Amino acid sequence: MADVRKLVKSVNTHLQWIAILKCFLLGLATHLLADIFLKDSPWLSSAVGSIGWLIGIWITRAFRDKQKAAIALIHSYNEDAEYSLDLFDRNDLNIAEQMQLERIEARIITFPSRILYRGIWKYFGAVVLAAFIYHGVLDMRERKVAQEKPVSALKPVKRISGQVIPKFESSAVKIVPPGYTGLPEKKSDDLNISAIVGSVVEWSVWFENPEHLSVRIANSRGEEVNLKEQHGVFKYADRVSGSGLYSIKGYFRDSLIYQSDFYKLEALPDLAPRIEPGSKELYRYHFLKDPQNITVSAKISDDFRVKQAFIVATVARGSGENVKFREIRMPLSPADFKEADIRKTIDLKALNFTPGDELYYYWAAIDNRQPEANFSKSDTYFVVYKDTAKVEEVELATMAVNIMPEYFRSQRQIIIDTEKLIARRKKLSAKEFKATSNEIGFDQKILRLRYGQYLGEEFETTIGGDTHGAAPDGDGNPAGDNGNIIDAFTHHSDGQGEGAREPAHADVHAHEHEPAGEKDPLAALMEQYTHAHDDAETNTFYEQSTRSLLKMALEQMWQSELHLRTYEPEKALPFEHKALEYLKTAQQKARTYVKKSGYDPPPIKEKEKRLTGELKDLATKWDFEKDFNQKQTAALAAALLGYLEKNELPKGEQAKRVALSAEIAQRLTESGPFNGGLQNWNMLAALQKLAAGRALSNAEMTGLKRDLYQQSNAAWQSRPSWSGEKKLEAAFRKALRNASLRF
Amino acid sequence: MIDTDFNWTEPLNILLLVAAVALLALQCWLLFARHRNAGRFGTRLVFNGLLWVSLLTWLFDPYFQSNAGSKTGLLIAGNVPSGVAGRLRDSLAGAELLRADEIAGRPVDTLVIVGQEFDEKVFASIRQLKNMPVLHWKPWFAADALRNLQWKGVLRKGEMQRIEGGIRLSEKKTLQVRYAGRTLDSVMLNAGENRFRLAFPTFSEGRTTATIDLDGRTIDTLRFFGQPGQKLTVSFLLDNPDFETRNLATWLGKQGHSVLYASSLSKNIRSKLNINRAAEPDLVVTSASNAADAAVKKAVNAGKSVLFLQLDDPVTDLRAINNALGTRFQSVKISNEESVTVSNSLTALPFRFEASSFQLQAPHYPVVTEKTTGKIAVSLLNETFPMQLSGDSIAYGKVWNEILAYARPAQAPVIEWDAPVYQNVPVTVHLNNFQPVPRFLTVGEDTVSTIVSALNDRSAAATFLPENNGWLGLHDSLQTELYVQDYSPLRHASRMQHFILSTQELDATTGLKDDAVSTRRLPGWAWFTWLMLCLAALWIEPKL
Repeated sequence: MADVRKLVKSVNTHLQWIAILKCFLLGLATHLLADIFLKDSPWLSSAVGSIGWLIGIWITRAFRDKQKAAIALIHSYNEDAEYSLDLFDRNDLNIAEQMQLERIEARIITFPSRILYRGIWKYFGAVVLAAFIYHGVLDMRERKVAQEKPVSALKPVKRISGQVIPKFESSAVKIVPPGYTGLPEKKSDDLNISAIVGSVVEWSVWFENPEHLSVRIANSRGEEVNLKEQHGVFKYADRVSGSGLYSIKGYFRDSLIYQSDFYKLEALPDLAPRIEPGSKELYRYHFLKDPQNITVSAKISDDFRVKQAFIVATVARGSGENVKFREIRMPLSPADFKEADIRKTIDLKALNFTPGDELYYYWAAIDNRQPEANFSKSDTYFVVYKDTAKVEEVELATMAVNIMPEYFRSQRQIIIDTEKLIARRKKLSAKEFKATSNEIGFDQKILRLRYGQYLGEEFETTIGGDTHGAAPDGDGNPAGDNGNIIDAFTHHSDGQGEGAREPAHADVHAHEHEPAGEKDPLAALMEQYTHAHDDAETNTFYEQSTRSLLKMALEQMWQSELHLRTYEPEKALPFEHKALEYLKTAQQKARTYVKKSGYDPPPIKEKEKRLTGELKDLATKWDFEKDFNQKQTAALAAALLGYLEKNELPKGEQAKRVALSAEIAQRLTESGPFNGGLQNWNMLAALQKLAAGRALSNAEMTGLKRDLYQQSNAAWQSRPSWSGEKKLEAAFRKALRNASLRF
Repeated sequence: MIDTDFNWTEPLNILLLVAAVALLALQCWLLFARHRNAGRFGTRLVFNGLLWVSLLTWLFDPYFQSNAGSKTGLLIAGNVPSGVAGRLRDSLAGAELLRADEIAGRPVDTLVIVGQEFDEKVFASIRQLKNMPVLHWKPWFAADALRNLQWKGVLRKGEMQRIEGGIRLSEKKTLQVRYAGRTLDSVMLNAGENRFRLAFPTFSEGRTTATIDLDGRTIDTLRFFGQPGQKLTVSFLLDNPDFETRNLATWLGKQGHSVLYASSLSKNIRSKLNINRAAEPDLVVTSASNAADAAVKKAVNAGKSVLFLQLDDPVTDLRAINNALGTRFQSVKISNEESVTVSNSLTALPFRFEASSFQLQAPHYPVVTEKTTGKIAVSLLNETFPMQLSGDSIAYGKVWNEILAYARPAQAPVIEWDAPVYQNVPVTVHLNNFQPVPRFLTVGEDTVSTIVSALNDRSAAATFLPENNGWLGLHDSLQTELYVQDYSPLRHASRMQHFILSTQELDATTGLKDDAVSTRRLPGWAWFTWLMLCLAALWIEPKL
């Protein structure tokens, strides 16, 4: 009985272990498969592997009691068991069952254990297949990598005892552009690099027997950086920041054993966004009747992506010194695009754009360059809101009638008006006549005030009116003719009238007579040094005679105003004429003064004067020597062109060719990128090759010739010349001249 | 047509004629004197006259020319298309078509050769004919193939290389001359026969290879040798230093020329600047006021050049130059402005030069040269240095390079030949201004003797037949090299041309014959018989 029980138990255990094995195999297969695709993230692949494991547990129902399955299996292979092995599990057996159990237990039940392992091959197969796939893919990948590097690099190099000089095998370069560009990573074995600024470049160089070897990257100026060895591969990685030429050098125990050609390292700049506004009109007017929205459009693009575009608008308000600015930044949608036509409606109302205001706006955009974005902006556009309420002087000038004289008339005009008034006296009513006369009088007053300002008279009362101190000159002053009564009245009444409004009248005069001590002491001190322009007596705008002339004219104006105001234009007329005369005289005086200021030096007689100076202490001999040793690049290029056609050169010429190419290459590198120097990679590389004494390929040769031709500045410099026998030539020339004279 | 070779200029012939006239007179006198009354006077007169005329005719020895009997052969090259050959055969009625190997067997009077691609043997067999036929060559070139191509085999750097030739085109095409893929010059040609001329300044020193491309397809290769340009020694002779000449002197110095810059600073004070160790000047640059200066005259007499700059008043200044140096410059006022614009930032005095056959004007600038013993050049340009100050040194160089090209004195030594040079076709190398003229010229491994020109003792020529192809060194001081072409479609034409010329040289005494004609003369025995008959008649007649 124990045997049968033991058998069932052992089958059960077997089944369980096999299930676990199956789970494990399935898990392994899944893991391998996952590993192929998720090689770089072991966590993820193990997660996928454990999913396979779980699937296996689910399929095989491992970790569960398999007794039933075991019994079923034994039943199916042992007819002796008579399908009664289930009875072992029961506790309360009836008689028949017990008897059956005993019957069975008496029998020897055998079970071929190999049946248990049936079907497991599938799992093994899965694992083997997965392993195959895994290795196959890995192999393929490695082969791909091997294409980049030589086969021998993958093979372990046989170590030979003794000193073995390393040998260059191959090199490769990996360029990883900055993430924001979205450009793919690039691997290549062409060491000529063109990459966006900021790209990471990784050089890998393989050498045979890389012991005691140091590999360096050298630029054209001879500066070097070391490459680090990692498992037989020399690597160096750096970020591209500028252009240049470089070569790879291998040093073995301090001696240079390998030098590559010069390769170019070209840093391509990430260009700033390009903005093409739709409108070319930079300056325009906005009128009241125009719509309050202006729509502007622009095409914005970038070589990678435009991160954000916006319009920056500035509203300027006010004029003169009182201008206020308000800047508004309007981001535009869409953002983050490569190329877009953007339209934007600017709401002028929202900007509080009112007549007289000006709006300046420009487009701006930044791209997605990192760490610093490129910024670009368009021209600035101007929108000017026309203020139609403001009258501009330009408009006034074009008007048929000049309205300016309404409030500022000339003395001549006053005379004309007065004469007109006298002529029309009979036609006009008395009231009208008086009104007009009064108006002309007012004009006369305005004019008087105007001229008074020129004399520095601030207050109306002092303008032309102050003759208290001045001696009355009888013949010059027509007022004298009219009698002293009117004269006295004029001053008195006006003085009173104006004085009522301008109480300062008395004070002004008081100033002059005030003793300095009574004043503010500082003011008194200052007075001695400052210039009182606002005082008619002391101002120095005009010289004495001009000022007195003007003063006299003002006095005449006073008189004329008086008569006009008293409705006596006839009496006013002589004063007006006199005033005009004085004004004109004053003007003339000012003019003649200006005219005197010119000075014409007498002309120098060059031929007489030249070389007549005193030469006592002067050296008489001036000899200099100068040498231009350096040949021009054009001449060097022309000379090198001649050497290019020759395939085999004698030693001396070879040295010349090497020297020439080295010199030209040197000059090119030094001439900088803007003079066609450093950009000319191919030419530089070819020249370096020539300088190193190596042969050029056909394409390189053609390219070099083309570039050198350009450098040689081909120009017409000479004509074929032929010299002849002198006498013969002279005779020929004579005949030629005579012949040409005859025609 | 009756013809005679009687040479009237020969005194003996005239004497013979006089004798003949005398004979006639004698005959007539004898006849009249003795036989006036004879019965058959008329008959005797006729006989006498006949004898005299016969004698005279014998003296003149007339012959008849007729083409009728002349045999024409037609030899057509293998590459001539049958259409062309057929047309020629139709136009040459009665011409026999010969094969190349039949020439020896079928002698002809005139041989018309069509095309040029024949074997060397053909030339030999024509040469070896007993009666050399008159040769007519009608070259034949395929469409779009170059013909009569010619360029200079050797040039100085900076000299214009000129390529001339002809081509028959089937359609409108562009012909370019290119160097390393860069077009140096091009010309657009119409369909049909074209003559073309391409030119570009020589830019290299040494062997140079350019190609001729027709619509981008290379159809021929040019090889020429560029000699280094000759450096000048320029002497400035000035009354006062100024920026224009100073700048020019510096520029010349930078170009590698030597300059001697002399100017008076003040009374008895002269400044001298020597750039690049100048010695004897090749070119004197001065102003018109120095035209009569001894240094200027000396330079002109030595065959050097003088360049006059910065004229104030062209009319008086030119008169001064003319008086001093014997030139005939004449100027005409063209504008009332102070100056006229020549190009951007370049102005000139408002004058132009009167053109004359013995003066040479620069094409782009108002500069004229006249050759007396030396070259005299006058420039009407105002200041040129603003160009350089404004950064346009290329334009500045262009102006002065062109002026110097015209003002330069004759270079020494000059060697020239026309390219292409073909293997086994003779080539003549011209030498000029060698001092002294070399007696021999070494070309490759050959030595060729030179022949000095009878007219110009400074010129010489050397003709030789190159046997090796490729670059041949001339072993002269400039290490010039000559390129001999091995194969070119034009080589056949060149060889044929040379062959035709060489056959015609044989007839140099009688001039070139246009056509083969058979001449018929009365043979000697006939003359003898006839004259005997005449004499016999005269002798027998009185006996009867």
